[in-house]
Amino acid sequence: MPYTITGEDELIRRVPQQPSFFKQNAQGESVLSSAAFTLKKDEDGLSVDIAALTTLEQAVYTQRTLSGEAVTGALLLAAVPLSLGCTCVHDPTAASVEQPANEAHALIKGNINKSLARKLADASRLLPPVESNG
Amino acid sequence: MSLTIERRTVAQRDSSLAATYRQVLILQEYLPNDVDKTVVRANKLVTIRKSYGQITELVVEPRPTPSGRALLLLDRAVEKVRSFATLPVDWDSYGAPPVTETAVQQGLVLLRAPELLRLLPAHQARLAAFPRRDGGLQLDIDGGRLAIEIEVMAEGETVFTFFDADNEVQAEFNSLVEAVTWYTSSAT
Repeated sequence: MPYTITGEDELIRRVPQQPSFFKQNAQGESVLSSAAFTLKKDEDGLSVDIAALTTLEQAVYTQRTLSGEAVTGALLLAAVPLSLGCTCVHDPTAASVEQPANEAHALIKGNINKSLARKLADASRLLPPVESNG
Repeated sequence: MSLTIERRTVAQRDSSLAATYRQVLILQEYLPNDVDKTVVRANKLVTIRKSYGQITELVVEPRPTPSGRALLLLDRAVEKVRSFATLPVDWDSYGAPPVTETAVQQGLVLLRAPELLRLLPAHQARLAAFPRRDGGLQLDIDGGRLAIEIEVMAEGETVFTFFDADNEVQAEFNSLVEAVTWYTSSAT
């Protein structure tokens, strides 16, 4: 059954640890680059997981790239993209050769331009990075 | 360009020799012709350092000056951009393609362009390089009047975008010269 995403939902975006997508702000704190929120050419939305339908462990900490690299993640309140004119759509994915099924998968859809990507990056809360254990 | 040049023994500089060598190489590309001899001497002495111990080393130290900090930032960015060439498919866990060789080479050309220094703030400049999920790469420049994103697309096309404090786009250009001209003229 489709899940309706509200402004209070938290969305989880995976972020690679290597190469790092973090940079420092004027206060010396780590912040995300907008590069983490840009679309590939064939994407019709930005992939996220709905926090209410998964766990950080499942959505981030057990995830790996194809080459086995660990990832970290960022939390984004759905109210942010919604307030910027985007829609957030529950989009569960079926299992494939490369990935298991993901009931929590969702897409942020809309005109994800450079300005919007920066705003999403600024509004995100970073999860602590984890040690890669293969 | 303001440079601090001093003589020290290699023994005093052991832990930072590698960094010094890189700085000299980078400086070589930006130094005006009239100080070229200094770099040649520095290079020669860095080569001699393999004898280690008693040899006097000529050290070119850009650190104390704002332009020196900018050169160090560029040095780091060059290394990071080079590392993008080895990223595998799916480096972001969302199926991103590798960064293209064209993008890497164009990124390195851009980082070696003397005009790029004019986009870096004189004080508290921040420069970071990131791969893009479409096979290109991105350079973020922060700390100045406007934030700047430089996108190098997978095919090598370059886009310079200036953002205000609210992350709204203020201007966009496809050439470094145009971007520098607009940025420097809009400051007055």
